[in-house]
Amino acid sequence: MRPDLVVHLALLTGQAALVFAGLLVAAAATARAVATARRRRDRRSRAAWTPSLHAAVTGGWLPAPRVARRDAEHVLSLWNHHVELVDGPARAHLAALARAGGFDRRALRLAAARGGSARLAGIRTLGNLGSTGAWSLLAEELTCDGGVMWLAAAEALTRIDPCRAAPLVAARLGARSDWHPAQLTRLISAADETALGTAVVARLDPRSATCPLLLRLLAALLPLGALPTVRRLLDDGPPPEVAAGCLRVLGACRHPTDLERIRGCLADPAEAVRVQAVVALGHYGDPADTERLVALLADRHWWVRYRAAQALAAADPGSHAPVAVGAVTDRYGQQALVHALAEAEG
Amino acid sequence: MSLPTPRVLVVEDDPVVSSLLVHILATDGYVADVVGDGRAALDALDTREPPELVLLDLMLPYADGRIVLRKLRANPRWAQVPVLILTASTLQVVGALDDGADDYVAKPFSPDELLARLRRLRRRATLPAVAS
Repeated sequence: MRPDLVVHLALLTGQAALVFAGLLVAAAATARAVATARRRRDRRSRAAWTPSLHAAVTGGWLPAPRVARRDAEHVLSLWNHHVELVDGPARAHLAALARAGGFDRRALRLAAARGGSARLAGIRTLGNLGSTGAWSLLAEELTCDGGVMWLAAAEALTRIDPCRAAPLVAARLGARSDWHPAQLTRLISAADETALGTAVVARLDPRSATCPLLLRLLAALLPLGALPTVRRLLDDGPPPEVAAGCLRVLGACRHPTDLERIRGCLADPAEAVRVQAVVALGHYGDPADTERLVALLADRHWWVRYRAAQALAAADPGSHAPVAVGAVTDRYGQQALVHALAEAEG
Repeated sequence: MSLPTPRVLVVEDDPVVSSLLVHILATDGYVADVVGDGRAALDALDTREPPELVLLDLMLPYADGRIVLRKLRANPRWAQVPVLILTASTLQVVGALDDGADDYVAKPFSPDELLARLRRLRRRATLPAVAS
């Protein structure tokens, strides 16, 4: 290779690196400027709206300040934060303030926007305002796979009309297995538990991959009306993950007639089933179950031993006899019990 | 008999929530100090005079509310201060009551109910003094 060509290539590489570095600096500076502007808008919105929001919460009234279009997302997020924090008349006062500020129109615009956080603020506002006019827009959002938006839309629909929303939400609830329990709990807290429970039960199919997730949700809803379906499902010998879900529901509902059914699952070959059976017995087993739980301290699976130890350590003396660590013969079971007792003592 | 202006220590990490709490407390004549995390709350146990009441969030950065509560109950100067728990998760309430909380309010909360519970705690705390 000729020396002048090498020099030429080196020069070109240097220039390219310089351009690339310049672009990186420009991108970083732009991102910083955007973040600063966003923080400034947030501070401005807070300063303008906090007195009115505070006054509304405590039953007073200050006029709604004007909302500039570019501040709308921040103001609506701030309002949502307040309205989701309080209950009773304070919530109604905040809704009146929002209507005076024209939040319903702004929320509709934001909910149809492209930006993620703006859309989220719009959807939450529509739900918190109980905007029935936004029903179809929100229902359409449920057909998308976008996780956070989907959940926000489900919550908004549930807040607007819990009974009407239940079948729509239940139809899509099993579509994702990565929901955090706290997010679902939030959704459930806004729901009509009976309506959602009925809609979920109607969709229980042991052959479907969504069945375990729906059962997990059902356990949080505590619908006693669902128990016959769940018992039938368990008695039919479903796959282990479905059986474990059924036991989770039975353990949560704590119906005395289910104790024998739960005890029957303690010897199931699948550890997921044994774990849920042990957890259920820990919830509401009687003194006769102490011996069964102690036996499970020697289970070959760590989670079963640990849950059995937790059940024994957390039990009140009325439901299970206290177990002395020294009386446990299995070494690993003994360790699990020591661990669980230490956890229980805090 | 009117009670003196009471001071409340608000332990809450969310500035929107703490600012709202300070406003709600002010409507009932309370003067509130705010600390924004568990570590600052633990520092307050050593450096500040005990207030009449503590309003404590359970989910805090650095040291969670239950740790703060246990340290508070173990501190002779603060042990008798009534503590009201503010929590979004009722699952934690039993543990917090066992750790020495006097009462709790679940989020979302009614401001009137919050104030009524604080008044009740104050009455209970001042009863022995009035009796003696």
